[in-house]
Amino acid sequence: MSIATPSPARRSLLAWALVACLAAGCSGRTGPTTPGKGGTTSPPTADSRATRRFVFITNGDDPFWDACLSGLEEGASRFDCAAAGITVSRDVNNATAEGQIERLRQYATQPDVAGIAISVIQADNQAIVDEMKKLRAKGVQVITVDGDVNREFYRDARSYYIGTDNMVGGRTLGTAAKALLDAKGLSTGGYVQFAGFTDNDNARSRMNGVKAAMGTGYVERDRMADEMDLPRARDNVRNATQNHKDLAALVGIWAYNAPAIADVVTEAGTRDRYVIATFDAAPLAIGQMQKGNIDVMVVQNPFEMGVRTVRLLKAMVDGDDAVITHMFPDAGGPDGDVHTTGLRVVVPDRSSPVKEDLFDSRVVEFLPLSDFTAWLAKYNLTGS
Amino acid sequence: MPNHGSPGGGWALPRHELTLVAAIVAVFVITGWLDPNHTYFANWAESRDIILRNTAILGIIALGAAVVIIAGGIDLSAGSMVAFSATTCGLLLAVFSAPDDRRLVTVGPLGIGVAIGGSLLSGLLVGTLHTWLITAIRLPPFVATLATLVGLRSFARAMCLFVTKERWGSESQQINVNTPFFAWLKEHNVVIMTATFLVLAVLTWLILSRTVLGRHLYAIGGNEQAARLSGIRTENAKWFAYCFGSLTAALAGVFLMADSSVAQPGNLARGYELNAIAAAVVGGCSLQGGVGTVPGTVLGALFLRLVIDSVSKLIKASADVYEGMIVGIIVALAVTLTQFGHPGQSGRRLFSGSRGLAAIPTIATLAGLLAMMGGANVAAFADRTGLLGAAVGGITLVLLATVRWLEGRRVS
Repeated sequence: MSIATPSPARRSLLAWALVACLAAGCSGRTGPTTPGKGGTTSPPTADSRATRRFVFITNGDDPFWDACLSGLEEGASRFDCAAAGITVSRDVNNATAEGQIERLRQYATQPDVAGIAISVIQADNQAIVDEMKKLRAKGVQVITVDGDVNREFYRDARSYYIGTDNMVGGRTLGTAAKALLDAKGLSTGGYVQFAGFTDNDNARSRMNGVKAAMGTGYVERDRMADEMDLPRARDNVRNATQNHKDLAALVGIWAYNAPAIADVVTEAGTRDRYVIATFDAAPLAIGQMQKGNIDVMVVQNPFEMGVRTVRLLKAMVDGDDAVITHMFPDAGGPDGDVHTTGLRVVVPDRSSPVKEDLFDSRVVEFLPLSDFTAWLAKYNLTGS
Repeated sequence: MPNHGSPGGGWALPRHELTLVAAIVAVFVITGWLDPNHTYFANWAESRDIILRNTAILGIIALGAAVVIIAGGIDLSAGSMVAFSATTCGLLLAVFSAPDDRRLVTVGPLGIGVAIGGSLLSGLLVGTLHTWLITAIRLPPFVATLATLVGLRSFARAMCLFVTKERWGSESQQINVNTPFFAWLKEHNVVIMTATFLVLAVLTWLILSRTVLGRHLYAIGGNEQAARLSGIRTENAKWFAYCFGSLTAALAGVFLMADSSVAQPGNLARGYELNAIAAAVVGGCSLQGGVGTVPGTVLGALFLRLVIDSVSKLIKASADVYEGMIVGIIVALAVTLTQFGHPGQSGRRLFSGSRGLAAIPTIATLAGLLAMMGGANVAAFADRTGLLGAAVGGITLVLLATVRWLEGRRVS
């Protein structure tokens, strides 16, 4: 290594000067084009506003969202978005809060974004809430779908919520699981619940619902989180079945947990030991129920969530109060900003110990698997 | 050894840094032109904030990575260190909050000071651990920091479950941080993080170019045995390098926790270590050690983040699908250009022999497929993706074939 004195300093100073010039150049550019307070700006050309966009931000990558995308496409077609110059797209988050924050910031810079629907990954995350509020302040319509913010503190971060009443969903699943355990002649035993994040609002509500419906006879041994990592989801099932000898039921809370549970117990040859009750109907889960490896699925309706997301956002953008009032007839009242999309209880066939009269027919539709798959085929869906 | 990057060298202009500046300007202009919203021209302020914020986080970590690389080492643990530091900060805030305050709004100045100090201290401790593993146990730096890459995140997760259970009676995998100080930090994060990054960059530059320690770091990176034989206490210099690397990651952890209002050890900053190393390499650092500059690293971080932001502007949704691919291409290109220098000067051929010949259609096919997939999300090309892919693939094929032909003529 040669040690020549003046050159490195001069080179470095020159490089620093370049950095400074670049920074100054960047700042300088803002002069004539910087928008007014709030960061909004007039569009550069008429063409750039010819198409407005609705963006749906998921919480992570999951087959559940494929059905929702089909619903978004159906909604765009049904409500004639193309004629209104509106396109609808889905943005798959990377299962982190940072990912959602970054996406919200990016969309805030893009003037063609007219509406955002987001499945909030962390109900209590102040940074996500702040970015949602900034978008609303810029005039972008913001709603939550499937995963809401913590309504106690952050209700004003979005206009409306569309999705499942997760507490009711959890109770429904717990009721079905308890019926299956009772039918096996059990009155005690343990169960474990599996989800991506146990702190997530919808997961927490569902788990609490399951626990409430299972009663005190059955003991919740654990709530295991996999952070949406599929190999870890399987490992969690393996660990649960090895660690808790009195385990009688395995409860999958997020869509991919169902096939993970079914795969592991099938591999281990222990299917007959457990009641397997799961949320959602991922394509692999449907296959596993057809093979007899899942006892009951409580299925949300992501397809309808997608359709109604487009309907609501378009009504909000157009100022169509009639549609909004129709979807939220109790607006202004307690939870009047919540629109639920209903639940289905799917069993392998009608001989299942889970019977239709266990549930409130106003909230829950009871279906054997054959009827459910016929409904999927009608809309060209592979899961829900 | 290229004459840029080490303390020695001639009077040549910093060609690498100049190239980066030109590339940054080119990306800016091309993106502003191709983006149907022309966001960079019409609404630059908000895009600037996003780019500066992300550059500051990446750059702070990259400065640490660069010092370690210049000293001839590698630190793969930076992302996990970020998560560990953020978790330490969040848990200390929990300890200093009111017993039933799970939102951490009641933490006072003492708690905030201890939390930030504890986070930075954790960086120093991890850096010291790295140095011990490398100098006393003689683990290769790759192995030592690989161990902490997987170990620190796991440790942070366990720590989070343990402390939340002890503090609040139920386990939690994350800590929501609503402390007013960190909310203020988040609100002003562009200015504060950018200023911190620039101050840190100047300090790092002073250390590397104006102190004996800096010259020792370059000397160790260039030839460790020769440096030791010449009387340099290599262990001390390495301790500084690894502590600096971990300390910058710890600092980034505090900022990132404030920015996302959550300390989530499971997936916070996952993969950041590779982007930081990429920024340093793009900035001119050689993984062989002994070469690299602070201005280059700063520009490398800015260039990477600008390109990533540019992709978000051009591909309107799910742009991060392409992020890894684009960072990979940039790193490969940057290192290739650094190694080969001006065509014809190095004497090495890009496409020699049958393997070089086979590489040409492979690269052209990849370029065409990438253009086709990316073009589907760009309004200007959305209905002509097949044509775009074929055109890009074809042009790439012709260009690379021409390079090979020229190389062949030069040899003959």
